[in-house]
Amino acid sequence: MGQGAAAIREHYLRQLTELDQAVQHMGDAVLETMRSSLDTLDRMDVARAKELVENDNVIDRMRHSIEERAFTLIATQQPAASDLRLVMAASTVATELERIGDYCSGIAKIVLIMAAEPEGGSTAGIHRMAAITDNLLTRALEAFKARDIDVAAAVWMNDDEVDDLYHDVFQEQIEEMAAHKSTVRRGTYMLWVAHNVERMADRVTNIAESVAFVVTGDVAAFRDRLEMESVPG
Amino acid sequence: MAESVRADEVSAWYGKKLAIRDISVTMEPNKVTALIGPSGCGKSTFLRSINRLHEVVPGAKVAGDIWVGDRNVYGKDMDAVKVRANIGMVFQRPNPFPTMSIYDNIAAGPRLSGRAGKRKQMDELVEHSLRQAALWDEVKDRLKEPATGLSGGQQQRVCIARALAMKPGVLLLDEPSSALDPIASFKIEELLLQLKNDYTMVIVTHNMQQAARIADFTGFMLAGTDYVGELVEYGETTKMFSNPSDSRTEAYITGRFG
Repeated sequence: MGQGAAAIREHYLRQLTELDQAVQHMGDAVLETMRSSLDTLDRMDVARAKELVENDNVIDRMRHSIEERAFTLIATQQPAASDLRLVMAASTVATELERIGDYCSGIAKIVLIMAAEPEGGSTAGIHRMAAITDNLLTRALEAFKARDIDVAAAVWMNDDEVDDLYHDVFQEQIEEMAAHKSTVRRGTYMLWVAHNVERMADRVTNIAESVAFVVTGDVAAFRDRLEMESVPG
Repeated sequence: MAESVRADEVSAWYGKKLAIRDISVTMEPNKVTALIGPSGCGKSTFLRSINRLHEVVPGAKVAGDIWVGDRNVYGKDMDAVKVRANIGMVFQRPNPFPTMSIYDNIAAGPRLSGRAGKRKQMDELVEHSLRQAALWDEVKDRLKEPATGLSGGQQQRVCIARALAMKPGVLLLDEPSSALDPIASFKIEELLLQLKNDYTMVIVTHNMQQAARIADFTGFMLAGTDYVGELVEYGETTKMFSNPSDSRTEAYITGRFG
């Protein structure tokens, strides 16, 4: 089959690897930011919340850098097949990660507003949502790194759990606000937080879908899989 | 009229040397089929087997059948010259007849094959062929000038017009734009997309992006360790370039070898 790959398109392969690594690096940074933002909420750490809001542009810059790399690769190297799928997916995943970063920043901003509010109310539901979302993102990033479609599929399916919890938290907060008028302001803020976490989990499922695209070349691989499984017999 | 081209277990030899083995594939009418693969994989040999040009090489032979529509190109009573009249071919280097005018280049085929009609009919045929080749407007005022005075891209379109003047059903193109600059090359590509309405086209190209741009179907050929070319994978071009089935196709189109 001729010469080894490295001998022919060494520069190109290095560019692809760097793109792949840049996505993974951004994923790690966003996961860390997610943990930090929820920790900040827990501890009502105003100083840390300010830092998180200010650092959001670091994540934005990572996205731009990945998009630029992807764009350059397409423009100059004409990637094809699985290479092309990786380049497309890298750009999509970077966008999703950047949005997750925005939700983290959103939570930090809520912390800054809430700091003036009296403490109280239940946050257990939100914590459960956050724990699951953390786990989902961690696994989605692992799936991207290992191109593991089974892990990605599990992540995609588990998003429902977060949606169900969000529904519970919503009910819980509404009921509490109805019963104790003094908690309305705080409760509303908590709903915002819960909404942000729920949106993060949605974005994680998009990342899982991108992994499936890289592996299978099918943009709707999971939906196809779901339909196959739901066909009787 | 465009006809399908079906290769049935086609093998070809140069003397004792087997060059391509057991190629079976159907090329659809009114579609562009591209053949890609590294040098020496037998793309051109296969292409030249389709119109029986391979057998012109001393000692060369072909086994298997090629069906154009419902006629077997290698059928017992089939005349190779007639086969080639119905299957036009364009080569890598533009090769207009050097001593002839633009007009005579186009008229040569019909004249030599006894198809020359009255002067007016020939004028119409030449104009029609040149229009089909998207060259008429550029050369209509200099039809009597030598074809070799044209630019490379124009010469190549003369060759395409020359092939079309024979009213073939199939057009074979062996790297038709690899000797041309990018703009002339794009013109040829655009032309092929238009000609698709009337012909079955098979193009050998080293330019994978060109195959991706213009071909409806793509076949990937590769010679293994025994240096015999085979058809590794054949399918819709979009699939071949986004998600090929065979790992060798994937490796080739992503530039991992070649």
